[in-house]
Amino acid sequence: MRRRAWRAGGRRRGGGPRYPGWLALPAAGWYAAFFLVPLGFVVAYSFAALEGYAGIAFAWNLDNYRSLWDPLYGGVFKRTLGLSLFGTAATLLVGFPFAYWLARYAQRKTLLLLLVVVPFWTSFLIRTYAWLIILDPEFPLFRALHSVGVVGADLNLLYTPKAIYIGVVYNYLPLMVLPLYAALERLDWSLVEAAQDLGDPPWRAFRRITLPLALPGVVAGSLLVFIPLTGEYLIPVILGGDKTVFAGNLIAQQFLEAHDWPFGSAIAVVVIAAMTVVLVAFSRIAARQETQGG
Amino acid sequence: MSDQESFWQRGVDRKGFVAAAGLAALAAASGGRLGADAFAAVGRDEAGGELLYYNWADYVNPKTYPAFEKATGIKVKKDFYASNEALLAKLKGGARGYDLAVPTGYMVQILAQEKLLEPIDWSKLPTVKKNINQKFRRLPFDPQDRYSVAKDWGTTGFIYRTDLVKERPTSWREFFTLAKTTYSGKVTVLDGIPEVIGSMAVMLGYSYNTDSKSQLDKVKQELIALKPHLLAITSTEYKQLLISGKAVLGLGWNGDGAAVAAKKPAQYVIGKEGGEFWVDSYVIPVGAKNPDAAHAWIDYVYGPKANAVETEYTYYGSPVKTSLLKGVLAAEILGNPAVFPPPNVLAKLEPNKVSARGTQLRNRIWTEFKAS
Amino acid sequence: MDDRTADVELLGVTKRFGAHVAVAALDLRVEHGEFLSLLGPSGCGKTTTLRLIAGFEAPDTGEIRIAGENVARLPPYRRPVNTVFQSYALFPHLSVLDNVSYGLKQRGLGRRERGDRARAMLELVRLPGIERRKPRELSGGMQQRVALARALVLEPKVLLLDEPLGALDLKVRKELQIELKRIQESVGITFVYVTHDQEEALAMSDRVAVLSKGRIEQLAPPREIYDAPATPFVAEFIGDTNFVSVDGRRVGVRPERVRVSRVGEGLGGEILATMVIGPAVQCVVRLDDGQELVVREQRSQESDADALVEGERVVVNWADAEALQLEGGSRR
Repeated sequence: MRRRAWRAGGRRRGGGPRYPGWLALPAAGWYAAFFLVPLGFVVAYSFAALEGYAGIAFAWNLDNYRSLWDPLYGGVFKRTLGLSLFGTAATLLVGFPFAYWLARYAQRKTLLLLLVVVPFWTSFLIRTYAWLIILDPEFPLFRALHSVGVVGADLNLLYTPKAIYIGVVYNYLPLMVLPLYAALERLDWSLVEAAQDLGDPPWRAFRRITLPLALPGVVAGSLLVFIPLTGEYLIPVILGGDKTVFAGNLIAQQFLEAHDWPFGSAIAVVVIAAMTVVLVAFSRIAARQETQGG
Repeated sequence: MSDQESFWQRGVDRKGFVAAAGLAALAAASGGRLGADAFAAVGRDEAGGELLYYNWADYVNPKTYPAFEKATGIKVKKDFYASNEALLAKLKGGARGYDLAVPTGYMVQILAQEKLLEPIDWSKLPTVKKNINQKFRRLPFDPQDRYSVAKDWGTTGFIYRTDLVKERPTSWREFFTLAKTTYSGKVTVLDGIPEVIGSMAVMLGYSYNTDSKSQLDKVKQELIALKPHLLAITSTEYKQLLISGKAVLGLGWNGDGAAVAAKKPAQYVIGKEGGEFWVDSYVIPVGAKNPDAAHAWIDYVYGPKANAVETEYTYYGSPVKTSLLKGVLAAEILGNPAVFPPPNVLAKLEPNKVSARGTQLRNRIWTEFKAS
Repeated sequence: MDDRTADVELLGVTKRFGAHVAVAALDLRVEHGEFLSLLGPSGCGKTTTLRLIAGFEAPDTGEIRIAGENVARLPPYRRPVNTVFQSYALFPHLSVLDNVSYGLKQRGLGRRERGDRARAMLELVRLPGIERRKPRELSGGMQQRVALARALVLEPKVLLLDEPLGALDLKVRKELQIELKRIQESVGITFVYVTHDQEEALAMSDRVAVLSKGRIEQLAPPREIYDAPATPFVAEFIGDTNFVSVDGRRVGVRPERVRVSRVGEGLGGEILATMVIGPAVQCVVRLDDGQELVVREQRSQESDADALVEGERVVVNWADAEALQLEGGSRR
């Protein structure tokens, strides 16, 4: 009894054992030097202009932003948003049943988890290139699917937007599955039994109990997928034939091909700003979910 | 422009054929030893160290690396870029430590202007001085030979599979029309701003290097009309796509065209309206860790045998005196008009020499083209 | 009697998990309004039996009837029974009120009605005013009562309780035992109560079913279970029993039924050890023929037991009627 009181007291003080503040300095310093400062540069560059072939002239105007107002770029941003939302939804739809089965019913959990994680140990580039081989119409997969009648003879996914979507779901799936699994694994399944005992058929118990309790995992997984996806540019280049441009491609193009660092910086700032808005909205929703009932 | 024409109209040097043939025979007989001897003559006493070679993909015969290592004791490490612009971006962005790079002529000029190159020490290049075709000295983009040594030269045109394409296009207009109609979805273009925009400009009758906004706007419209018919925009994979038949038309370089033709029935064409010729040169980027190794490499590949090995693989024109190449380089390559175009063809071509303003306009067009 | 008075019936129910037989051809009738305990050591099948009634497991053979209706095809959410889980299984993301009113949602009641009923149930379990709190803010005993309220508010025909007091301190447990009994009597619902604590079972139940290895060893009111165990297992499991051979026959006799004194009639022996346990004294006696016996007597003026010391010679005896006759069979 006494032990419980002590712990409860510590919690009320708001933190458990207290560590000296200066322990955070190295991490904060790293963060400032390698994240905040470069970010500052990017923002500063966005107000500059390209000079000559690759020079920068600090004109301190909004020209770059004004150029972005073109509907062409609006299209790029819309497409990027579409891809990010699709990728998040698709990995969630594919990943949730798997994570659920893994957490609740699977016997060889560690082995299966390993299988999910192992592709991560291979280079992202190689994994993506592997899909070029798989999607090749000459590859046995298509011949097999065709002979069974699943796909038509002239299906060619190579270098199409569909190939990009496949590549995205494949590459980002582990990022969704792992947080989902972590949340579901911690779930007390007797709660689901209790819900059924109280009259809920399985699907309703899922909606009222499993889903709300797994929500932190869903949020974590969604963020882990959505945010990097907005900057994705390798998959559109490799699997899409470099024909479809997303925000990531746009920025990379400006920096790597056109040497227009100021313009690229402006695009980056816009993407970062949009991302921040999304994140803030997301966290507000998540916080409200916490305090409300089911 | 005019000094370009006179340079190319001089024709390949054929004087001193007998003496050159004799020298070539001697070179062939002694195999690689001549290269090693020439190398020793440079006065290198330390064999070893590393060469960090920043290059286009698939631009060196894989046999050359171990041969070079054996001759000099220097290990070669490689890194790759896919366009001149990428090279510039990397160097401008602060990448240091590369000992050797291979930009195209116009990029040599830009890199030099941006102070991203180290000077070449010609005293370390005896083989080069002996074997280089004089036409490749003091090129317009480096008139004092301060920063560059020619590696090879070539042209930009288009390639098509003769067995998969019924027509026999000879002009850019035909190429682009076929791309938009009969062979839509089986066409690739280079992932290169100068090549694609320039070729389109030439088709419309403009200069390859135009920087007129009104002309470039028309180019842009044509490009955007072409986009939906493209299979891919790539400089590294189109060779493979043409060989496998997934693409039947490709905008590309002559060396790649000859490489495809060596494997499958194909034809490389320089569009009637014109096109680009280019010289790729070795440069030593600023901040090179081992410039001596870079010089060693350059000198090594100027040995006729080593150079022949290279040309056999890349199919790009060699800057080594033709007289030295005879006997070491396969005759059908020497005589291949795609690899060594005749003077009348060369006359129609322009080197890349776009102004800064033109480049900016082209960059914007390229962005819009890709995003369309 | 007629089927209507039996709320739960198991007829020949068997349940196997792989090679292990958890419940073997079980027959059980739970009468309406009774407090029935399923008592036994771990692995005896009591929890499985409960889960079979609730619907979380399906029997391999046999029939299960609730209020006369065969529930074989009914999933748990359609059976008129509710369960109080060992771990309480309160929904951590819902308030106490939302927990208790959880099952009322699909009955089509309005929000206010649901709240009123939930609050009434919280009153019944003597927890008014905590409705907005979250389960993690409550003590174990309070959580248990909320779980009870949540199940009772649905007015099930039978309430199933799976070792609900197992995780609580002794004092809280004793309080809740009384509470549960009170609630059951006031609400009148049939309780089926699983426990391994025999004191608890004997204290609270109208009838106790003692289980071992998937079978019912004895089903009887507590007094009978204690005073007249039907099988050696029950005799050994319930309370303490001495098993001795007397005149060639094996008998079982409870320590508190044995009297020990310095003089008198009975079997002779010697004190091995004595121990004072609160109001009683416990002696281990070694009989002359080598058998050992445990004697427990309330300490009082009239008895010698308190004053006995190690090594002393004593005499033990007991009334015949109080001995369990065992010849290897069970007796009902």
